[in-house]
Parts: sequence; C-alpha cells; structure tokens
Amino acid sequence: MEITNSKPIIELSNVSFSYGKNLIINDSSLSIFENDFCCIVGENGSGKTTLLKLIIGLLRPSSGSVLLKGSPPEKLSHIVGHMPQKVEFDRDFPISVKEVVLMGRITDKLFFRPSKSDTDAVNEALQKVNMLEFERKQFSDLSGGQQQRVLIARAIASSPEILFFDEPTNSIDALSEDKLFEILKKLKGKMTVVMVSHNVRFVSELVEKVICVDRGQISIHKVEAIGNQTVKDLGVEHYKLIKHWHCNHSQGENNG
Amino acid sequence: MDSFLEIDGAGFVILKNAIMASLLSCITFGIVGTIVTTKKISYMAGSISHTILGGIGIGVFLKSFYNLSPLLPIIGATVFAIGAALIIALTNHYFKERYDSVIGALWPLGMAIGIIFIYKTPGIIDPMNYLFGNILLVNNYDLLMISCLNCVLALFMYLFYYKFISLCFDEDFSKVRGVNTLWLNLVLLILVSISIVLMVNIVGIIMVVAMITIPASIASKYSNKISMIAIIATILSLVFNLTGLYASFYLDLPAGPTIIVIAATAYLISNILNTVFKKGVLHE
Repeated sequence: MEITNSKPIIELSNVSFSYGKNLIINDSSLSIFENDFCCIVGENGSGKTTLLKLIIGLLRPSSGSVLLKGSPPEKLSHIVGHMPQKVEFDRDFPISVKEVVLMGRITDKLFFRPSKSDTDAVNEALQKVNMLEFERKQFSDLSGGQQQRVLIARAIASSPEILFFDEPTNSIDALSEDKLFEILKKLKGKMTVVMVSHNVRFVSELVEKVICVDRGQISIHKVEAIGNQTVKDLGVEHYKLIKHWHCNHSQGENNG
Repeated sequence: MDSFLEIDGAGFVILKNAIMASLLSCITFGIVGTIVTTKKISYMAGSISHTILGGIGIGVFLKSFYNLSPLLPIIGATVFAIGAALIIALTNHYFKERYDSVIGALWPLGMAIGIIFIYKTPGIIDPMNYLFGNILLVNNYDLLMISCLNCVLALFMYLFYYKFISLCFDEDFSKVRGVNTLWLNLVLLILVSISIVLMVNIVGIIMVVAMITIPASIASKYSNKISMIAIIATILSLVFNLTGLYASFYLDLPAGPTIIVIAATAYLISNILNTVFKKGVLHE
C-alpha cells in the first residue's frame, strides 16, 4: 500500500460485493488520490466493471464503505464524470449530439432547463474532443469513434474532478483510438482518472497506477514501483501490460 | 342518411363532443405515445390498459350492487392502473424481476377480475363497451378532464424533457448525475397510467393501446427529434380519428374499431414504405 500525506479522493474500506452467491469483491480496500491516472485491469469476469460501478455509486457494497472526498458517491454526483461501455446504447435513439452532451450538465435539482452557461460548457466540451461541428447531427449518424468522443464530451461537460471510463477503446478503429489517446493525454494531471481497459498502449503510456482485480481481491500498484515478484503476483494478463510498459520506458531511458 | 357536416340538434352535440374529444385526445396520444415508444414500454402500457378492466369491473359491481357513486368504475380503474404501474416498476427495481413476466401476469389477472365482477353484476353489462368504448358518448366533463391532463403532460415534458431523454438514453448515467431515476420512472408511469384511464373512459381499452403505440411508432420512423415525434404523432392521431369517425358515420360501423383499422393499415403501409426506401429497393 502506498504511503502518502494527501487525503484520498476515492476510498474503499473493507468492501465486499456479490451477485447472489457469486462473491465478486471480497473485503478489499483501496485509496486513489487527487490527479491519479489509474487503470483497473483483470481477466474477463473478474469484477472490473463491478468495481467501477461500486465507486460511482451505481452498485452498493454488501459490506464496507465507498467514499468520494469523504462522502457517499450519490451525494457527490457533481464532481463525477462517467463514460460507460458503448455497447449499452441504443443506436437508433432519436437524439442529437448537443442533447447527449447536455446530459452531462444535468444535476440532482428537480428541474433542468439548459441555461447559457450550460450551452457554453457543452460547446467547450465538444471543442475539447474536436466534435463541435457535429453538435446538430444525430448521435446515431456518427461513427463508433465519433460517438466515443461525444460521450467523453458528455463526461467532461460538468468539469468533473473525477473521471471514470469503462473500456473506452472498445470497438473503435485505430484512428479513433489515436484521437482518444490524445484527449486522455490532455486530461492527465488535470483531474483524477479511473479507467477500465485492456488496451496495452493506454495502460503502458498513460497510466501511473494499476488496480488489479483478481479472485475478489483488489490491489493497487504504482507502475514504476512494480518489481519482478509483484509482476508474477499480478498474473499473466497484467504481466503483459506491465512488461510492455517496462520495455517502453527502458527504451526511452536508453535513448535518453 | 344526413351528411357528416349537416347534423343538427342532439346529433350535432354528440358529434361535436366526439370531434372535440378526438382533437384533445390526439394531443394526449401524441405526448404519451412518444413517452411510451421512446422508453420502449408499449407492452407495459398495454398491460396497464388491460389490467384496469379489473378496477372497472369491481367499480361497476359495487355501484350496481350497493347503489354507490357512479364514479366508482373510474376510481377503480385509476387504482388498478396506478397499482399495476407501481408493481411493475418496483418489482423490477427492487427484485430485478423481468418486466415481461410481471406484465404477463398482471395483464390476464386484471382482465379476469374485471370479467368475474361484471358477470356477477346485476343486469346486463357488455364488456365490449369497455374494450372498444364509444367516443360518441363523451360529455363535457370528459372533455374538461382531458384538457387538464394535456396541460399536465405538456408541463411535465417541458420541465423534465432533458431528464426524460437522459433516463431513456442512458439510465445509469442519469443515476451518476444524481437523478432519482426510480422516482422519475414512477412519475412517468403514473402519468401514463392516468392518461390511459381517462382515454379508456372515452375510447376503450383496445383503442388506447392502438392510439398510444401506432401514431408515435410511425412518427419515430420519420423524425429523429423527440419533440417532432410528439408533434407528428399528434397530427397522425388526429387524421386517424377524424377519418375513422367519418368512415364509421358513412359505413354505419362502430367508431372505435374503425379508427383502429385505419391506424393499423397506415402503420402497415408506413412500415412497408420505410423498409422499401431504407433498403433502396425503389432505386435499384
């Protein structure tokens, strides 16, 4: 466990969660600090998305507590931006790009009618992901990569302090992946980012900390601090990611 | 036979009320239909509209047997409609019960209760009156109720438009943004339920289902904007209603079923045209 003086922005204490009799997270704790860029890794079905949903308050732990800045997640919705897995969307839903991004400005207040500041924030978010020219287009008319960028704009439209991405590179082409990579690179250091991803390049070049979910246990590792023994503990899937990271950095250091 | 536009006296009042009911109910069908098709709860609306036969049956029975208020059938219908909506929404929310199984259980149960009580009611009551209604029996009180309902629906859509589309598009994201999705879902379903009760009272159970789903389904094929879908659905409802009334008058047919046949035919034609144009068959 990392020792630091600052207070964690995300704190899980002795969290357990199960779907019926299937225990997914077992008595695990985790601390993530301000401006950390973390990636949740693990094998298929290991509970990565479940962990993400627990942190953002979509699921409630069977025991233990999840706190964002010391409060339950549902009370701090205004500091959270979320980009879910794209597969959960209905492609034919009648909605424009601008309306999608406006969703990111909705708050817990009873009524919501967009004001000028909301529209300005939407334009700014679309500008950041180079999608402003598409604001009047139908969301369903966009390519997979463009849709991903609009969903990122929706996630950042409220200028959140913590951003969550669930498999952002799923089913997008290489060009879109490059654009997504550049966007995430710009966000690095400006806000706390927690991402679920299998993408080796994203994990190895962007991520500072790796959160491993394996057989109900969660462990967090600072990437540069990972030694051979820890790599073995991480399992094959994670080993590939970390090895790739080490190779890149070794080359960088040799070149320097 | 008199011309459709040359009726006077009592006939004129009946037809005038029927046309007014058509005009007002079209706005209801346009808005509720858009909510139902966008949220993909047509099957749920169908279940609620059939379940209320149970409330109507109990109301009719109590009214006749104990000589109680004539409003009992509509009160019973409202209780059953809201009850059905709450059962469906809450079982899904708390017990993760599949919508379709709860809907499938409530639909025949409500109808069975209704038929049993109607059967036991003294005198002869034809359940067909409730299934197809009679738009020609609409009175001023009914017209006032639909007008109030339309105002509530329009106000709701104005105030909750963005929360509604967010809920339909991505419910999890709405939750993350702090929207109380359970509450919003319940309000939506209760609004749909009340609309169904008022419409059943006028046009019957079967026609409510048809007019909620058909115009909005056709409209959704020709527009990508929810507000525009509601407007097109309202216009289509009006066209179907007026054409149906006109045809039923000249062909001496019951008004409700005639309107449904016209709407369903339009839906079929629109589907064929949409498929043909979308696949580019006409261009090959």
